[in-house]
Amino acid sequence: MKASDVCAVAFVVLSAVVSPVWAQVPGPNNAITDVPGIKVGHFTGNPLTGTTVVLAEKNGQGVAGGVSQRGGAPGTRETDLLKPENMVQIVNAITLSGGSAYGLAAASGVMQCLEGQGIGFPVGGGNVVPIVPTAILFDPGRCGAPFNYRPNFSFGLAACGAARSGPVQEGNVGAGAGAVSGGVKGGLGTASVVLDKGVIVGAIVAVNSVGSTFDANGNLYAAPLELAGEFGNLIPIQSGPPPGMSKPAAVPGGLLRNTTIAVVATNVELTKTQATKIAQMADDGLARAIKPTHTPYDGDTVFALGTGRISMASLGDPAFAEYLIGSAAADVLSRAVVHAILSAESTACEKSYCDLFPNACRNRKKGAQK
Amino acid sequence: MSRNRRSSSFASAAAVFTLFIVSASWAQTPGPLNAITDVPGIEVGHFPLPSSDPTSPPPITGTTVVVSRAGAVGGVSQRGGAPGTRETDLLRPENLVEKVNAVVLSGGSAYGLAAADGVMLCLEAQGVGFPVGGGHVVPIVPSAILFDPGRCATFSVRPNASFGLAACQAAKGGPVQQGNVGAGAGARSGGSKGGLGTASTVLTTGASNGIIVGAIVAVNSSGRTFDAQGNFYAGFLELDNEFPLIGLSATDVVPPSSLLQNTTIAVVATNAKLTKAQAT
Repeated sequence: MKASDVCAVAFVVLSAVVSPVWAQVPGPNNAITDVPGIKVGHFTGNPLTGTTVVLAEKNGQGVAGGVSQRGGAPGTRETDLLKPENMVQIVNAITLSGGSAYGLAAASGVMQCLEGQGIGFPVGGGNVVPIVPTAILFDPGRCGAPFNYRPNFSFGLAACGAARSGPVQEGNVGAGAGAVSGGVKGGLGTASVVLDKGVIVGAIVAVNSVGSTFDANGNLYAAPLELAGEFGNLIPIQSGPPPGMSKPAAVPGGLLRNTTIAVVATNVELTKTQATKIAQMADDGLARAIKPTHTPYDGDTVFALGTGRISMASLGDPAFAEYLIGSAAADVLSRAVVHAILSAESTACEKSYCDLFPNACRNRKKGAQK
Repeated sequence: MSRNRRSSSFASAAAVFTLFIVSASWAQTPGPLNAITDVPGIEVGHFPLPSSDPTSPPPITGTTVVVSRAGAVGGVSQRGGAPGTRETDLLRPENLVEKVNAVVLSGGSAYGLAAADGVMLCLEAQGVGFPVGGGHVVPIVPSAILFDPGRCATFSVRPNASFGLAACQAAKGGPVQQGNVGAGAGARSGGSKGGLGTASTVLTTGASNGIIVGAIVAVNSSGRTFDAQGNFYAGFLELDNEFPLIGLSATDVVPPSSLLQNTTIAVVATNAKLTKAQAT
């Protein structure tokens, strides 16, 4: 075979793998709830902090889950049981919460909410233990809020009680309510994509990163991933940042003050091992939308869920299907980060991206993409 | 290994870890209390304790807290196949936070993870935790639970935040109560009653002289601690006649093991100065 033939073969193989083999459009709500079996509930506090719960079920039972925990300052519950070698194969809900490690208390409220509905891992005698992996972000004491005001048991109970399918509110809500991101207001964002063969992938994220989601000119890193005009015709910024814009503090206020936490979900049936791989690939979506990410000061944690409506066997080679779902999950998570930043609203303490760069957002109709 | 008597280190849910440190070639004696509290800076609190009133029923579930107010470098080995845990990710050596303020062991299955909420509030009120600016702290409180709900009680009786708060407020140095207390109150082990136990050793040879290692464990295992003749597997590790036992007769009946719904959780501590990687 000549060298040119090798190149041609390599080109064909690469294009088969790299090109968007499956057409991509957002789902009807452009939200993680486009994945059948997924419901989302928020509870937002005042001052701004809160809890977001993602419920997952198939035929009333939990679904397979995995996690990628890459940030250096995590606060988590029940991530050990997600390891593929461990016994429990299902997850009933994921809790994302503000409040730093204190906010892990929200998961206890979610557990009570689910137990009241008979949802959980059966342990005999008709009793259940709900499986509720959880991650928190740091937001206490921001903007003059009392440090001891933070999500507790009742936040989780309320967020779980409010969970439903359909559109998902974004911006200063739930786990994203008190979030900040690289010098601007952070928030809660969600997105979805519909691939060939009925495969749906969705993401939800609370963006509270040390790193920034935009470059030195103010252009969002993940803007090129836009589908169907969902970012509202952002105008590329040609010049530098506006006068008076404060660069993100290298280590805002000291230590341990950030974290981005997310859930991705697909309607494909996954094993725990596959869900773990999807979570790892989805995590790259954070790295493409936020710079830097997974720092010592971020507890970045990404969960993945497979709600089992489509069998993996129906998609052909499972490794290739995993590759496509994981790739899509990364892009969906990047887009959800952009939605979080564009939906965030200015507070007395942080400007939103769109208030900082009104030119970039001038064609954007608020909520137009949803 | 350098030593620093003012610091102490945790490793929770570990079994193999201590055995590596405690080589048989080192002379050993138990500490004065034969308890994890022989390690300087380590305090233990249980909730509930058995009532002094002999007519009141024994506790059926509970929480045990191991506290290091100054913070101790921590690590974890999570090997069981059905864990319920909090804050184990932050213990990985590459992660930022170095020191642990307390480890919570609790009954209640995953519901019992709520006990750590109470321990956090208890420590925050004492200003104990990772400083996050403005004089505020976030207590670092890794936790593990065991399954005991529904044994001799309704399923909804289990440790909550108030158990953790009470156990933390009761934490102190000195002797540690064992048996049907704290996280061991509702424990079962291989067909017999499980419980809470503690022990310590003081190394007295050469460079290791003065190193103290302690352990505390809630034994709720599907496996048995004794063989078909009823003899303890770990009986040979006895120091200073601490297990005053008489051998079994051939007619004693050994109960069968139980399956599912178990878990053994433990903390070991030493006064040796460790890195997170060494604690792991």
